Amino acid sequence: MRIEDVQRLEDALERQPPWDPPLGFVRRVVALTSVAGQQWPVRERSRRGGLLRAAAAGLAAATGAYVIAFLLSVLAATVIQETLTAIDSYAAFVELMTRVVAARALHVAWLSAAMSLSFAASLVHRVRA
Amino acid sequence: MDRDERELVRRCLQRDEDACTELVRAYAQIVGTVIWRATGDHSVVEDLAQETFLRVFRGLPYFDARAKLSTWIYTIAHRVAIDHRRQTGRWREESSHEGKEFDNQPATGLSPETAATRNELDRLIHDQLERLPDKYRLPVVYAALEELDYGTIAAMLKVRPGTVKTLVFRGKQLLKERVDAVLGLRQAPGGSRAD
Repeated sequence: MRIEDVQRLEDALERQPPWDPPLGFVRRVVALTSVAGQQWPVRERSRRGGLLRAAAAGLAAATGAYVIAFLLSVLAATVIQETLTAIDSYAAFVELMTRVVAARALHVAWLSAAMSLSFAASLVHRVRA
Repeated sequence: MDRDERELVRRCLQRDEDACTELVRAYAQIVGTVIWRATGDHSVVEDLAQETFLRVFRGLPYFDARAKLSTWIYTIAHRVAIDHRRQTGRWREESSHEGKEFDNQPATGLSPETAATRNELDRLIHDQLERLPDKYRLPVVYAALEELDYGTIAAMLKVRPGTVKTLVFRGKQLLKERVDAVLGLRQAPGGSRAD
């Protein structure tokens, strides 16, 4: 005599009964955890960590917004000023933009960095949420 | 972790007794079953299930909300059972010898002979299962629980899901070979039980 296939084994394994909690088990456990709860670690640490994270995120967002606004104003002023002088020519305008970007490479770099940072922060925030 | 679980965890952390009751009630049966399967000792399940929930509540403030609550709880149950086995030193075989696993299984719709044969075979399978190395036995017994998928078992055993599949497959093959060997011995003239 042999077992025909593994299915027979699987059936036997699945027929094993589950454990049934005895009467009062849940109540006893909850009572025990209430007593032991006096020694539970309070969640203060993680709450404090959450507050710090939230404060850091807020500060980063505010700084980012300020930097972006500053850079935009600097760029916008330059662009408007230069655009008025070269309004007739699209080619000149493109050239001007290129010059502006080249001249303000540092600002543009800051702007890009700030935008990347804020994008990354929003992604992290979404993942954590 | 879904919204309901998150809310349940939050309430438990505020030591809301109803929430703690809800959590224990929701997971008591499967936690006990995992422990029973892992230890094979029915008499220790209640104590170890209790210990599991104490560890769960102690660890809840540090529970990573991105993880699945059930997987985390089952993993704790598995560890509690394994710790117990290490402390007691060896595999207790009382469950099979006392027939607790199968004696209470109703064989509805089967003739008495078929039911008796089935129970006998089930008992033999269970006996041989107990003799399998833990490396194969645990994945096989856990995979038989419908609440545990391969991903969950992989997390419990700290292996990859693909490894769980392989271990379950090899474990079942090994078990089948051993059961067949015992059945062959029983059938052979003058044969005796291998164990």
